[in-house]
Amino acid sequence: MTTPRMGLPDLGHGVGLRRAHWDAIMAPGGAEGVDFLEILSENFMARGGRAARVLAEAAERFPLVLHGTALSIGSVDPLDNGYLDALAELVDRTDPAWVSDHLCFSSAFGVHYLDLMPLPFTEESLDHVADRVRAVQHRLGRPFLLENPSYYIEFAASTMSESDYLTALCARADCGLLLDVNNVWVNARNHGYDPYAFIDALPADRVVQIHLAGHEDQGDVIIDTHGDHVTDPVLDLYAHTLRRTGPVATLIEWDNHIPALDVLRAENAKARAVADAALDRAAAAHR
Amino acid sequence: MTTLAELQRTFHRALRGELDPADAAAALGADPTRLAIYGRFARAHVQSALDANLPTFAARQGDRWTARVDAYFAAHPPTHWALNHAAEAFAPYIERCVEAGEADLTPFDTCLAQFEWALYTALADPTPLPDPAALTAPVVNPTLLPMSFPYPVADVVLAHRRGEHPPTPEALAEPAIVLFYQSPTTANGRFQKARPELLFALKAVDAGLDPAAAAEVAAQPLAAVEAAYAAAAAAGIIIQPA
Repeated sequence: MTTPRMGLPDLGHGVGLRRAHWDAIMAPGGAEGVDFLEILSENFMARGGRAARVLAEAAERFPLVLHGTALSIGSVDPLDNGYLDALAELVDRTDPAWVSDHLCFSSAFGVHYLDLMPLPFTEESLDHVADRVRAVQHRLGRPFLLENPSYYIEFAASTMSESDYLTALCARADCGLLLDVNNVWVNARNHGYDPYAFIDALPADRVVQIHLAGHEDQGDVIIDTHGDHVTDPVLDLYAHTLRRTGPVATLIEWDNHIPALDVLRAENAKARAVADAALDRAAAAHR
Repeated sequence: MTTLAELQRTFHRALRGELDPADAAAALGADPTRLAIYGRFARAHVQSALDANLPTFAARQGDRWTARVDAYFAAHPPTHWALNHAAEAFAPYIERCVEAGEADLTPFDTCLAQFEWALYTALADPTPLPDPAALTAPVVNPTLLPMSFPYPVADVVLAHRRGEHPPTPEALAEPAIVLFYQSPTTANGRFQKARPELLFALKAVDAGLDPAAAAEVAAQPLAAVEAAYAAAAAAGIIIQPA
């Protein structure tokens, strides 16, 4: 494949729709600089009340994408049909440009961990995940992206590199990649590899969306907290990524210690400036 | 070679505390300190669901809350994909603890947990609220969830919201009915202590009676019935045509 972003649109620079910002982002001028919203699927699935009202308004005013944490695409448990039904209903309600979730398992043996548990990079897990991604894409009728998660352990069972695994998975499942650049940086630090080489090894034309977020350096390990500003090294890696992929929809994730919307918008503007410089868009605009 | 199922079984048993962390890490070929991070994450999500949905219960537990969360997490791993549902089994769990005679819990605590979960149930109810402009007659708020409590739980919850910390109350002479529902105007979750005029209006509207018919059936002055309907509509328990 050579079509950038699998032919999907560059939605610009967006933020996640969080309860703390429901009023502010819908207020006049509140969404300035926000090109699209990412919806955390599980926060709105099978959910009425204020959440449903806010979502309906968001769907009228913004391009939306859906991002989940609980699909558990890598679990050895069967796909949860109740979950998929609720997700499909949300897709119908919001008409998202695409749907995404994480390359992980978040449940197994009937228990939901409510977090992203890593998978081994093996042929067996690759086949397993690819089959399930195809089933999910067929069920939802939407482009589906998998995000590279942050992970804190490596398994002795792994037989291939993460980048080889992601490359093969995108091809076998014919899915896109939601490239979390902060996760790449965090993983590279935690596991001692070169994040730039990792980015260079990925299929650039499969990158449909990018996540940026903050992390916390705890000394012996770096935790992907989504609770702080995006660091300069991550922004540098983001610029490098864009020079390979071309323009890609980029989202600031901030889920803990959520600041005022103005702070998030400033972070969004910073990412936009980095992207403009990396893609030489500002210079092009003045030619 | 370790299969995916074997790996996830080992990981699962480590997260559930069924396997010694060092043994699990060795089986996975992983760093035990790093593996422990995931156990902390899983527990923290359950704590956040409990903190968010049972704020009064948590506040009244004080220093005992962390141990209570640990015990609940061990006994009731989440079985639903939604974060908030990690708190769903908490009230039945507390009820069993009370029945088992745990010293730091009382029957009031069971009611408080049931109360706070009912409020979440009402606010998350996916049933659409009707558009008043599309109505031709009053209807009962479709998200209404009435519950009966042997303690004045609503008063305790309201006191905590004011920053007070009242002692555990005595049981009431008669159970108190509390109405949980979504506000038709804001769609936020609400609760309301049932008053006679609200219950009257609720029953009359549920029976499909307009104020005049309700006044006739109940042998009440029309003005009093209209006032009851107005009070129920103002509270959001019934929804009147626009």
